Amino acid sequence: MSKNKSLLGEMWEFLRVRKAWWLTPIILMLVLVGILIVFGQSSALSPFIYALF
Amino acid sequence: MSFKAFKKGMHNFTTNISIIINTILLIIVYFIGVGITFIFAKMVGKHFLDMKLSKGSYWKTLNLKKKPMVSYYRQF
Amino acid sequence: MYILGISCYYHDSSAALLKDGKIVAAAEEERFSRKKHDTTFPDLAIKYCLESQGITIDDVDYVGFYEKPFIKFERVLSQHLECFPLSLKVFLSSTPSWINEKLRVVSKIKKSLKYKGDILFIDHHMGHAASSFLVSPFKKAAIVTVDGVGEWTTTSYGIGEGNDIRLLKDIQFPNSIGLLYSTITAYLGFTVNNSEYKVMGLAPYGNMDRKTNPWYNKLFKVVDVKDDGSYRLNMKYFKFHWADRMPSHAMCSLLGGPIRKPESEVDQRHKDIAAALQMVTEDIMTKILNHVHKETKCNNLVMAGGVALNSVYNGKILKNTPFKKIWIQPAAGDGGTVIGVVHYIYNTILGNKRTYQMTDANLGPKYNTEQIQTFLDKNNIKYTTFKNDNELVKTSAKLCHENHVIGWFQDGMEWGPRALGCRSILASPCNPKAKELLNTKVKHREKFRPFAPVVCDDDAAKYFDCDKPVPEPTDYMLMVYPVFKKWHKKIPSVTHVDGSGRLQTIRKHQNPRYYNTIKEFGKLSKIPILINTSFNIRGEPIVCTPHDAYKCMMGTGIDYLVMDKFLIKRSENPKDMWDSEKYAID
Repeated sequence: MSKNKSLLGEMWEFLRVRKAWWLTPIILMLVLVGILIVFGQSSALSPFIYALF
Repeated sequence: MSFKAFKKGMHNFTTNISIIINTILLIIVYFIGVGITFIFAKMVGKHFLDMKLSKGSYWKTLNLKKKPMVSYYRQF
Repeated sequence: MYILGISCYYHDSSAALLKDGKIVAAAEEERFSRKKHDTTFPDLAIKYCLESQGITIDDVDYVGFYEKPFIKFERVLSQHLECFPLSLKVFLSSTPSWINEKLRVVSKIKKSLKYKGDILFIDHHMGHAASSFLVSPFKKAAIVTVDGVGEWTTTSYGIGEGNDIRLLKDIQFPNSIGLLYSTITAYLGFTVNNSEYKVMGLAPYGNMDRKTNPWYNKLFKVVDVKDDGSYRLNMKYFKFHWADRMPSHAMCSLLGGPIRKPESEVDQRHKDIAAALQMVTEDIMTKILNHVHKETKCNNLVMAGGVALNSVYNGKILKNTPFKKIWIQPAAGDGGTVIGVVHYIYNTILGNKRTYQMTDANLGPKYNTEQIQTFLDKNNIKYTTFKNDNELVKTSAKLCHENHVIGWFQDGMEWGPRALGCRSILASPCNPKAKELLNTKVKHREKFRPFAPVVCDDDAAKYFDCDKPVPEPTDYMLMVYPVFKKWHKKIPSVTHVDGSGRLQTIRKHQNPRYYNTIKEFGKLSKIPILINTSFNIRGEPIVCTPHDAYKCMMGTGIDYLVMDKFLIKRSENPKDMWDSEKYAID
């Protein structure tokens, strides 16, 4: 049995341990709309920007 | 019209619709999720990136070293 | 025990496999997918690693990933929160990949590889630090890591001792020397994370006098540097933290003009700006290294991170700082962190003794004589077979001496961005027209870019004003040294405009055929140096397979291909000729 946690479980632990409460509204909204969204892969990156995001 | 062409057309249509829906939903997330947090943060003077210039050293204590095994299973 | 390391989604995806403390396979995904700087999940590189050992994923004890994705996500969201509403466009373009890929590393690895075991996540800069220290010859060393950005850290320093690494201090995003270098690279119209080395090569064409270069002092307006080497960027001049471009309008005003359009002329102002950037970077790095030496009291230095690929500066470190010895891993950028990940897990986390030291970079796929001959015969390619190594060496040297361009395909593919005598194009540096010849026939590069020399380690000090003894990073083309003046006219094709050369030193045990060919060339020309440039079509990654090598030769002006013990002459295979330049995209 792998010791890695599930995404949502780990995300909650991340907010709790890092005390990153400012991020909670955004992450909550992303989780909610994530159920609705059909996501693709990232769009092609411009060659004139470092891959930062 | 062949079935293959129909399939391709439907695929393109679905892709375009999903792009529109995704964009709208993400705009909502951005303005509500990010925007409201931004406003509250501005009101209390909180910054999320350290960009101020100052007189002293900019080195920050990191002290990153070997941790208990369990911490490496985490993505943070 | 097998440990698999994976890096992907941002820069060059790669994979590395460690077996009982030794790296047995490592490669970048781009070499297999044939997409330059491929950032996708490295399925093909992983497949190579496992197949090279005849194992399956079930034999792997641990899988390691090269960063902590949630901390990186925290940093990205912090950028959006700080820069609202300016970052809308990048939020819309980048968030889907976070939801679909970057936050789902665990499920991706498990599903793609059908892996049931544990995945360990190693802090990005720790991966960098480990990638150099744990495979270096040092028991104890100061460690400096400098890149664009990992999770939050952009620059760090610490100490490595035995199995342990401790990173003591750092500088955090958005303050980053790597991003400063990339910003000016973008300003000069070159592609980012791909062409910083071109800017480094352009700099000697500019004014390298700190007192008279007008842009040198101006660039110090964009970065506040303290005496201890710590620094902070003045973000007024940058917009990479919220936009899909890097320099701001303020930067353009400061540097006297708009961002250069890629295909437009590179004028003297651009060259002077490149020179100023190189000097500013060197000054900051020297301050950092002096501070680190003072804090750690170590005479050994290991470096990693993309900025450690600045070989012009690397060649000055031992002269300009108190460090006595230096070691840098050949893939010092993000792709190389997989080496650090697997060693950190094996040596540091699991506490196993260090038994491996990297002495060559031949960690990629190799093809035996039978495989190559099968390829040649199956494709009806005309070739001849060398009777023995002696004939191979003598013929190759003679062809170079006669000013032919030869493709050289031997042994295991190199790990890292440089070709080091396994997937190389060789030519005579004595030919003053060699640079033009190579550019016309093969590489079609910008005129200001120099070609690099390869020399046997025992000859290096005769031709180059290098540190003594020659440091090992020179084996990986990570150090630029001055060419002694008396040789400038004799090896014009590898002497840059400022009299320097980014040499590769080769030691006999690393690649005997390559070593002997260079020596043999020396007997014919009286100068045992060859041009060594990467074996690839413009816009494509370095060749990996015999098919890639043959296709590259037939699509360019390479005259001969020496592949294992076979010699293929381009003109004898007209049916396979094609024009690669028509299809090349940089």
